[in-house]
Formats: sequence, C-alpha cells, structure tokens
Amino acid sequence: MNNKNLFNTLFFAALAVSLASCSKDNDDTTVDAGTKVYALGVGVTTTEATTNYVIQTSDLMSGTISPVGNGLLQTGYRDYAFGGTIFYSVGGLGVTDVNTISLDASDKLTTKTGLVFDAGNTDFKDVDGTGKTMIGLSSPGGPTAGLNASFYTVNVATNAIITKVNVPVNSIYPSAQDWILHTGLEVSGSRLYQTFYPINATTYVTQNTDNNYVAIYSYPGFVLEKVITDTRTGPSGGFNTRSGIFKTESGDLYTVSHNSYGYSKKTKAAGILKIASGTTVFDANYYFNTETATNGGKIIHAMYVGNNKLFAEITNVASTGQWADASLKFAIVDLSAKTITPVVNSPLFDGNGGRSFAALLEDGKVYAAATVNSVCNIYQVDLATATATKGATIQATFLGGIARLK
Amino acid sequence: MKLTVSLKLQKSVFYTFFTLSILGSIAHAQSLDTLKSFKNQKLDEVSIAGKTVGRAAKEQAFNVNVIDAKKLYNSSADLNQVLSTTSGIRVREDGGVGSNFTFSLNGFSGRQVKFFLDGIPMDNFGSSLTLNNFPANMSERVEVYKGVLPINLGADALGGAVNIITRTDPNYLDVSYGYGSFNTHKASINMAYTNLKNGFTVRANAFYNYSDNNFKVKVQPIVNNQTTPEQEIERFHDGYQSATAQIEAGLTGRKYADKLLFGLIVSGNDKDIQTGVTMEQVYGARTTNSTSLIPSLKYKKINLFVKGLDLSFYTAYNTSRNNFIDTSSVKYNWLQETVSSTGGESRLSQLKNKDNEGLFTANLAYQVASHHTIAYNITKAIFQRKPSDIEDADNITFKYPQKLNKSVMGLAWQTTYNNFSATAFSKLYLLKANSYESISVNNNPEYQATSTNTDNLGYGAATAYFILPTLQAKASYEHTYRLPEATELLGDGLYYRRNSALKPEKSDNVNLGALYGLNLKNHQINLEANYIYRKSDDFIRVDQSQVQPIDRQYINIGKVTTNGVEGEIRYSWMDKLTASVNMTYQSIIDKEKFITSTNLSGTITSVNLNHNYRIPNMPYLFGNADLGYGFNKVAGSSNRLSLNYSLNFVQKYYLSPNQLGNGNDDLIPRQFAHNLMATYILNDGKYNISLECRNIGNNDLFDNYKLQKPGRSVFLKLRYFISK
Repeated sequence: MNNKNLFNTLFFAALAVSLASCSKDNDDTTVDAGTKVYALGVGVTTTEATTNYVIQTSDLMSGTISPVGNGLLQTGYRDYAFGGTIFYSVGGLGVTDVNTISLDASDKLTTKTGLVFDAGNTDFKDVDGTGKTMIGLSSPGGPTAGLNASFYTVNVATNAIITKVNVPVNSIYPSAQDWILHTGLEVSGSRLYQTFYPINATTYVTQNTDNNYVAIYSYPGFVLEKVITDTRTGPSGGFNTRSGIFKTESGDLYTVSHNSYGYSKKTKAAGILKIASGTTVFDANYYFNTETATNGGKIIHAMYVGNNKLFAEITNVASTGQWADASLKFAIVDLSAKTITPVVNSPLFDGNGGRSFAALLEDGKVYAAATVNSVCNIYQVDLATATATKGATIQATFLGGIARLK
Repeated sequence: MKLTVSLKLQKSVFYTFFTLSILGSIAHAQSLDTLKSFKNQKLDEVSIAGKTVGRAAKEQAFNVNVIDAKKLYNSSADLNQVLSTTSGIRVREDGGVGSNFTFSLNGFSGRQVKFFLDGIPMDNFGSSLTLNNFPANMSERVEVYKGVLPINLGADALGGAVNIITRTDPNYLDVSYGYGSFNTHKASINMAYTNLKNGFTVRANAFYNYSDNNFKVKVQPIVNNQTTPEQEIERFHDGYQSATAQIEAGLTGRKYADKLLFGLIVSGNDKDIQTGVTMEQVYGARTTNSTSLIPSLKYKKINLFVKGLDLSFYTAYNTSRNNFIDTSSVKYNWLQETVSSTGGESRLSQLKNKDNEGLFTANLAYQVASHHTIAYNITKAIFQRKPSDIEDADNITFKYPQKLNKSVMGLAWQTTYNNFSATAFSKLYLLKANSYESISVNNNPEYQATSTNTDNLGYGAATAYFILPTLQAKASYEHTYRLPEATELLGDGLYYRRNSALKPEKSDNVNLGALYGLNLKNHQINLEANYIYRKSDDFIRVDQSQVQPIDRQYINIGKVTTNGVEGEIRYSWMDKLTASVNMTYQSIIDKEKFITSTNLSGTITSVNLNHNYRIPNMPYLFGNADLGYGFNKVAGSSNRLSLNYSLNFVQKYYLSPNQLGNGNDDLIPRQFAHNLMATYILNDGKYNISLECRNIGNNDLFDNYKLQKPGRSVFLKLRYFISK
C-alpha cells in the first residue's frame, strides 16, 4: 500500500514537472510554417469510456503532446492508416465511417467526411506506397457477423470506393470448426497475399497451429486463386495485429509467425518464411527461426523499414496466456541476413493488443510509442545504430496511429 | 467455502432474530402503554387525515417527489414523461412511443435507481412493463425517493427509487381512448369493484399503446458508401405496440385481512428497431418483443393480533421472455435501398432471454410507544436468466446461466410528533451469485460452477421538523449500496472474467430541504428547495482492454461527487389559475485520479484526464414550467374548460469530456419544448375531452448521441369516468 502511494506521489510529481516544463509546446494555435507536421491518433481512457483524438505536433522529441483543449475528437473505436497526404481515421459509432484528415492552407488539421464502409474494417493500407489507392478489407469476426470477407479499393483523390469484391470466408478456409482472423496483406505484382489464422469464432480456441497459411488472390480482381500452406511454422500474425506479412522492395514476401498473442496453443517455433517475388509457393530454402536466433524471440508487432529489414516489437518471455501482449522490446530484424539486433536503450513495455502498429518511418529513424511506469512516451529508434532515444510524452492512454503530413 | 456460507447465513438469521426479539420484548413490555398510546395515535391520524395522502407522503422526512397522478388522467403522457417534468429527474429517450430510455435521478442511472410497483421491485419485469408504457391513469400517485429510501422499499438502490402506487378507489370505472400524430393509439381501462358487505374486491386495469412512430427526421442518407446531403425523411421501421392487463381479486376490509388479493399481470410488446446508437445506423428489419406473466399475492393487516402491530407482505413470481431478432438478408439505408448481407443488419441473432424471478417482500411494524414505531422489512429476489440463440447456438455463455439471490433486510425506528418526525434505520444487503468459470487446460473447454456470497451493512436517518406551521425543514442521510449482478461478479465464462474482489457500488447521500406552504384566502403558494450531496465510490464498470476480444472484466472504478440544488415554486389562485416552475442544477464531478486497469498483459495505471471535470453525457441544468387556467361552467353548470401550457428546458451538454479536443461537435444543444393542452370536462368529470399539442415549436429535440425525437405532435383523448 505504501509502495503504491509512493509510486502515485512520484508519478504525479513527475507528470506535474513534465507538464509544467512543457506546457507551451502543445498550443495548436501556433503552427510554424515550414516545419514538419505530424498527426497522432491517441486514445484517452477515463472512468466513463475511451475516447479518441487526432492531435497535431511539430515535435516528436520534446515536450508533451496532449489532447487537453487540443485535437479533433474521433467518435467510437478508431484505427488509423496513412496514404498520399491523408491520415485516415476509420471507425465510429454504429457505422464505419472514414475521417480523412489532412492539412489546410495554414497547416492545421482538417477533416473531410463522406466515405462510409459497409461493415467494420479489418485492414486499410496504401497498396503500393504511391498514395493513390488504398486497399481495404472487412473480414467478419464470426459467421453471425457475415459469411463474406469483403475486399475494396479506394481512390485516394476522389475518396470513393472503386471496387468491392466479396469472397466467402468458407472458400478461403473450409472448416466446420474454425473461423479465420485476418493478420495482414500485401500486394506483389498482380497478386494479393493474405495471412490469417484459424480460430474458433465462439470460444477463441486455436486448435490448428501446425501450418502457416497464405491466401493468394488476383489483384486488382480479388479472385481467390489458392491457399498455400507450410508446416515449418504456425500461422502468421496474431489477433487483429496486421503484422503477419511484409513485402520488400524487390517484391519478395516474408510471413512472420509468433504463435503467441491470440493463440491458445503453440506447436511450432516462432519463425519467418519467404515467398519469392512473382511466385505462389513458400521458398523451401528460406526459414528463419526467430526464437533460437541470437537476441531472438517472438515478433508480435512489426513494420517494414526498407533494405530487407523489419522494425519489430519482440518478446522472449514465455507467454502467460492467450491474450498477453507483454514484455516487449524494440528490435531490428534483418530478413535476408536472418539476424535480430536488439535496440539499445529500448524500454520494456506491454503492447496495445490487436490494432495496427503505430509507428512511423522517417529518414532512417522509426518513431513508436511505449508506456513505461504509466507514462506514454514517443521513442525514436535510429535504425543504423539500433539505439532508442526517449522523446515527447503523450498525455494519453495509448498511441493508436501516427503519420507525417508535412 | 462452507464456512463462509454458514457464517453469512448466521448473520442474516441473527439479523432477523435480533429484530424479532426486539419487537417481541418491546411488545411485551409496552403492551400497557399501547392502549394508552392508542388515543394519541388516533389524534395523529386525524391530523394526517386532514391532508391528502400525497401531501402526507410529501411531508415525510425523506426527500421525495410526489406526483399526484389524478391531475394527469386526461393527459396522454406516460409516466416517464410525467416524471421528467419534476426536479432532479431526466429521462432520455431514443425516439418516440416505446423507445429505449435512460432514467437518471440526480445523476444516477441504470440499476442504481430502482423501480417499484406498489412496493414490489420491478427491475426484471420485462420491457413492456416499464415507465414509458404505463399511462398516468393506472396510478394514484408516483413517489420518487431521492438518495434515501424508507426501509419498506427494500432494494439496493444507490441513488433512489420510484414507487408507483396504483389506484385504490373502491368502486370506479375509468375508460379512455386517444389518437394522435404518427398513428398513435392509446387506450386504457381502469376499474375497481368492492362489495362492502362481504369484502369481495376486484381491481383491474388494462392498457394498450400503439404507434407507427413515423415522424420525420433530418438525416444524411448513406448511398453507395457515401454520405449524401441532409434531407427530411420519415421513419419507416419504428412501429411499437404494447398491451398489459392487471387484475387483482380477493377480499378487503375483513377482520383477518385488510387486504388479501390474488393478482395476475399479463403483458407483452412488439417493437421495430429503426436506428442503432446513432442516426447513421439504420435498420429496416430488426425487431424485439417480450412477454411477461406475473402472478402475485398481497396481504395486509393493521393491528394484527395486538394493537399497533401491522403486517403486510407481497409475493410475486415473474416469468418474462425477451426476444431479439436480426435475421435480415439485406441492410437498409434511410432511403430504404437495400444491399445484401449475410450477417443480418448488425449481427445475426434470434436471442431469447428467459427470465424467472421469485420476489417476496414483507413489512412488519409495531408501535412500541405512543410516538415510537419499530419496523422491519425483508425483500428477497431470486433471479435467473437463461439465454439462447439458434444463430449462435454454441456460445458458451448461453450454456451456463447465471443466478442471483438477493436479500435486503431493513430495521427502522420511527418517531412521530405533531411537528417533528425522525427515523433511523439500518439495512443488511445479502447476495449470493452463481455462475460458471472456465477451467480449460490444453484446449479442452471445461467449465465449473462457481458462486459467491457477499454482505454489506447500510444505514441512515431522516428527520423533518415544522419550524412554523407553514415551514418544514428536512434532513436525511443514507450510506447505501448497489449490489453487483452475477455477470459483474463472476464473469460469464468467456467474454467477462471473474472479479472476486469486486465490491458493491456505494454512496453516501445527504439531502437538506425546506418546504414552505402558504394559504391566503384564494392564493396558495408552495415553495420547495433542496440541496443534495452524493459521494459515490466504487462504481462498477466494464474494463475492456483496448482490443482483446475476451479480456474484459467488471471493476470498481469511478469516484463521483455530486452537489445539486433543486427548487420548485407552485402558485394557485382559487381553482382557476395554477403556475409552477422547477429547476435542477447538479454538479456531478469525476473525482477519480488514476485509472488502474489490470488485464491479461499486466496492470496499467494512467492519469484520469477527466479528474475534477464534469461527468460527460449527463444533463446538469434543466427545468420545467407550467401554467394553467380553468374556466368553470362553460356551456353547462357542471362543465369546465382548462387550458395548460408547459415548457421543458435542458441546457446543452457534451457526450465526451469537453476539456479534451478542440471544438468537439458531440454536444446535445440547449433544448426547449413547448406544449399546450386544452381539456373540456363535462358532467363533473364523467366525460372528458382533451387536445394536446407537444413540442408546438417543432423544435429539434434529441437525447443520447443525437438520436432525434418527435417534432410537433397532436393528440386527442376521450375519457369516461364514474365512481361511487
């Protein structure tokens, strides 16, 4: 009890100091022209509910980023994506609406609405990094929510859906026992590759963890061609994390399996498999056991940062249960060299569970957030030196999305 | 485990016996005094008899609103609408007739406020037996107790209770039918027959509500995945109907029973669902329906065996079915265009909740001395819900139902003098909850029964004093609890984890008030002012970690302090002019500094950014005004015409913490609704015609996430009343 009180006191004092010292930094009425502008989607949990805000800042490395008197309210549950010059906030109350957030002439955040999805959104990403087309997926969480996975493409310029194709979930993974949850997608050449994992939609028990699955579709037609499997790893990705598959500059694809967060059982070591560019088979000659690798572990959340490398949040602690997303550290994974480099000065922290990975790549540095001792901070990770530097404090419960708009 | 059970049992047995033995020993010792005191008692009764029953209820030491329903028999208003015009209460509705609503009393809502029908707890009576279905005509009066409850309303109410008292006239017939905007029909029959010779009594009431609720709303239809410009559209899937019949038969005024009545309530409703939580979420096929069947037995005897010993008990057994249907193969937009769907409109469902509840309440009171009474109450409720859904048959939570066994016992001492009354009481809350928990290992789903017992002791006091014959001052206090539900305590085996450390919600409630009444020849003025203070802690809320599907748990979070003032002024001149105005201001402040959340990844503590700010999504300033004038002898010596104007006002409020974000648009704007009513009464009240226009200004009205409520509506009601 005394410890807790002491902790509370210290914590409050630390927060007060950090707030007092940085209170001028978060005034969103003054945006310096010519400087960078970042948009951050943050969630604030109060006793009543969790509410989401998109806040702008020009400085990720110092001060406090706070939603107090600042930022655009985002109703309901939100996920974030970035394409072109637009920060997408997808979600809402009742319907899945899309707030397209961009900068106005005076570099202030402004919202355009209009686009509405038919159902809850499972994934939304800039398909080729050119910022012209977003690809989206609504994959129902169970048969009572719908029998079809629905792929669509959105024209960024017109903010309208161009194509919408339904694919029966049962055709991707025919099973009377299990349903599937989407864990990631990539487009390489004229094909779309999707990773998923089988799970019982009612009990969330995962019986089938002996195979990795990749569904391959034509693109942009979204016609299911086949589902390939491999027994060297279990399924890729975890519950709603979208960290299951990554594409390199050459078009090669890597699937990342951890069998930890979202799995009720584990039968294979965490590992990475490869699908070479232009092919529709697993590369029999590539296998990277991330668990036995030096400095290795289970890669729960990751993003591709170029040059065959992933920026990852990994854990080497034995899982404490199906829904534990805990004991994470930053690491850099070299997919071709099959090495894992721990990030110096990385904090030890818990993940945000099933949501897209809130991290930003800029000029050889990655910006991600971690909550340590109940304070949420930005961390800058220099990819070349694999070193983390603690940045701005986010006065919120979690960071849900981050993008640079200018 | 066994030990705790037996300890708990001992505690309740001890409590009961303690009470009874006090009553017994005092009864013995005081039997002589009783006779002496009888005269005084008679005197008291006389002095009370000079007042109406409603006035006497109002002058109790508790902070109570008493709504005299008789004045509303010609109105089309349901009890929710009636209560919403009194201080401290806001009923927020989702739409028209039969729509979902949130009843809040001084900021408390949901299960924190309890509802009673003639003293019987009715929280689980089914969706057709709620305040928005009840016409004013069925009730004699409605009492709203704020913060502090008399023990005869035995319930774990954190913030107060509403008790509907049905009509008790011995012989009468009251029939009414009304028709109005949006194809709304409301019919009711109320009657009672009492044979004064043999005491045979029949009381019956039945009512029926129907509405298409096809009022116009301003919406932006979603067409081809794009929001289109705002237009006015008529609601197309919002029909509602409900019917209820209640009959009681038995004996009254007998030597062995002042009242011995067997009763039966049969009720049901059918409801279309037009929208989800926002106007953007449109449905064209989802429906719900419910049925309830409630047999009951009521017994009451004053001066049972000895003078001054009063006993009453009620028992009821409630069987209700609440069904929810979403099997649509298409989804609708506001233009009634459809797209095909394989998951219903929201989620495929044919959910059936089978609720069974046994209720028992008994009150025993004994006048131990001329000015002193001791009273004991026990209320017991055993509730079980069995859900099933053929669309989701394997759902674990359906296979393992929860059961709740709740007892509330109260012991009170009351003293009454001519100008002074006081009561002190304590209440014992006992809870036994049964559920199932997962003990699955290695992927083999396995569940075992689990149960828990809790007990809590509450207490309070209330006092009232007439400083002057025209001025009464009141003060009351209660330390009270709201017990958790079975799921809250034990989890549901899948989505919600058990929290064996969960405590009941608790609150310390203080009321200070003054009533002033002045009769000057033809002028009557009544003033009332109340200050309320609530210090509530350990609110039970869901802690849902951000995105894990089943890592949820009910936790105690939320510390709220409420300071409120309520005032009312009533004026009447002869039997012609009436005017009243009331206003409520409540400062409901979040006092929780940290949010501590323990999920499967560990414990996270974060600063509550709403600390010391208003609780969002809660109206804090609202009021009502009423002005009426009656003309006697209009086209006939026993005919009367009255005109009435009323105004409802709610100050704007925000749905989320307003200090966060900049320029949030999630606000419910300031609202005014003006209503007019003309009533023509013929033949001294035998025939009544009334014409009502609600929201004459056709102002935009909303509650809850800007769900739009009806605009201007007109209603005509015809009523026939005879009584002996």
